[in-house]
Amino acid sequence: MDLEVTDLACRYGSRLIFSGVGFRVGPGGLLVVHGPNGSGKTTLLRCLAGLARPASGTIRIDSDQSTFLGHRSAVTATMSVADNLRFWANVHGYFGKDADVRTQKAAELLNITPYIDQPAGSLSAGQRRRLGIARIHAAGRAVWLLDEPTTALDADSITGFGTLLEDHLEAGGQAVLTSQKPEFSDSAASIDLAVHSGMAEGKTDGESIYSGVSAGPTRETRSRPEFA
Amino acid sequence: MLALFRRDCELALKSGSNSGLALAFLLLLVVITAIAIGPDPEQLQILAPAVIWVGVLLSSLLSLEKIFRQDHEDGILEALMTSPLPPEGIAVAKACAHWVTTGLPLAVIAPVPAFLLNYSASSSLWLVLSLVVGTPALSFVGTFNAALTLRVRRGGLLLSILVLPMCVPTLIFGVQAIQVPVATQSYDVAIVYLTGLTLVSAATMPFATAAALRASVE
Repeated sequence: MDLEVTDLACRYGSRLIFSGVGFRVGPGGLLVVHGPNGSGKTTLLRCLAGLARPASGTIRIDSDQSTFLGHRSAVTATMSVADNLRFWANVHGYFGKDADVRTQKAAELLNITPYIDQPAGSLSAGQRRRLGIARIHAAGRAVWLLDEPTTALDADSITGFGTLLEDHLEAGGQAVLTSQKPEFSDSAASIDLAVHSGMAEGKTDGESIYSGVSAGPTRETRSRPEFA
Repeated sequence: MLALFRRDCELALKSGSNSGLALAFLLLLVVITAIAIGPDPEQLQILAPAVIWVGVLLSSLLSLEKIFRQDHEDGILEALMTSPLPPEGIAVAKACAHWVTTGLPLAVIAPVPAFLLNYSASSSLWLVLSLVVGTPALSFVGTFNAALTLRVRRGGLLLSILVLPMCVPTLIFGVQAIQVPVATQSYDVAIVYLTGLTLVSAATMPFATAAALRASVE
C-alpha cells in the first residue's frame, strides 16, 4: 500500500508549524524530510506514526505495517542487548526461534553482536542508536518511519545503515526519514519543510507551497515484495 | 502482550525494589501503628483489618509511578504505541505485571503483619484470599492514574491524591471481608463484592488507561 499524504498541516500547541505538505511513497520508495530545527520534521513523522494528530489534511498509511524510531531509541538500560531485541521481536509477533533468528540478524547487520550480552545501559550513544535501528529491523515491518536515524552514528555505521536501508527498499519496503544533513538526498525524493513552515522566504518562488513529491522505487525492484 | 507482561515482571524482579520496598513498607507501617496504638491485644485485634488494608493500599501505591515513567522517558512507550499491540493491551499487561510484583507478594506476606496485630491465625486464609481478590482492583485503578499523570513532572504526589479516593470501595469491602473474628458479619458477601469491584475495574480501566496513554504521547 502506498503511503499517501495530502495537504497536511500540523500545529504544536496553538502555533501552526507547517501546512500544505503532500507526498506519496510507493513500495521501494524513500522520502527524506529536510528542514531546519523547529520546522516540524519530528511532528510530521509523529503524525505519520499516529502519535500526533494533524490539524488538517489526510494521511493514508498502513499502520499495522509501520514502525517508528523516535529521538529516543527505546532502549531498556537494564536489559541485555539481545533481550531488548528479542522483546521487540516478540511484541511484533515473532516468538521462540523466529525471535532469536531476528535478534541475531538485526544485531549482525547493525554490528552490535560483540556487545549482545552486555546490559544496554553500558552502550555508548552511537551504539544505542544502532540498537534502536536494529529494533526497527527486528520488527520486520514494511514502512520505516525514522526520526534522524543517523544521529550519533560514526561514518562506518552511517554507510552500514545506508546499505541496510537499500536492502529494505529493494525488498519492497518503504521509508520516511528526517535528516538535517544532506545525506541520502541524492538517491531519494526529498521534501524541505522550511518551505512549508514559512522559514524559507523566497524559496517558494511565488508558487503554491503545496508540494506533491512522489517517491517510487529508487531502482528496479529485484524480488517480489516481501511484505503483504 | 505476554511479552510485555513478562518483561515488566523480569525488570521488577531484577531491580528488586518494587516488591521488596512494598513489603518492607507494609511491615514497618504495621509495626509503627501497633506501637502507636499501644500494647492492648484486644484493641489491636479490632483495628487489625483496617490497619492491614490501609497498609496494603499505601504499599501498593509506592510503585505505581514506576509503571510508565521510565518507559515514557526512554521512548519505549512511544515505540509500544506504534507497535501492533493495542494500547488497551499495554494497559492490561502493565496492570497485571504491577499486581504480580506488588499486590500478590503483599497478599502472601500479609499474615505476618496480621500476626503482629494479634489477628487470629485461623482466619489467615481468609485474609490472603480477600487480598488476592481485592488488590487487582488497586493495580488497575493505579495503572490508569499512572498513565493520567504521566505528563505531570514529578506527578507522584498527584498520583496518590487521585488514586486513594478511587480505592475507597475496595477498602470498605476489603476491611469488611476480614473482620471475621471480631463481628459476625457475612464476610462471604464482602468477598463477592470485592471480586466484583476487581472485575469491574479490570473490565473498564484498561480502556481509560489506553485513552490516557494516547493523550500522553501526543
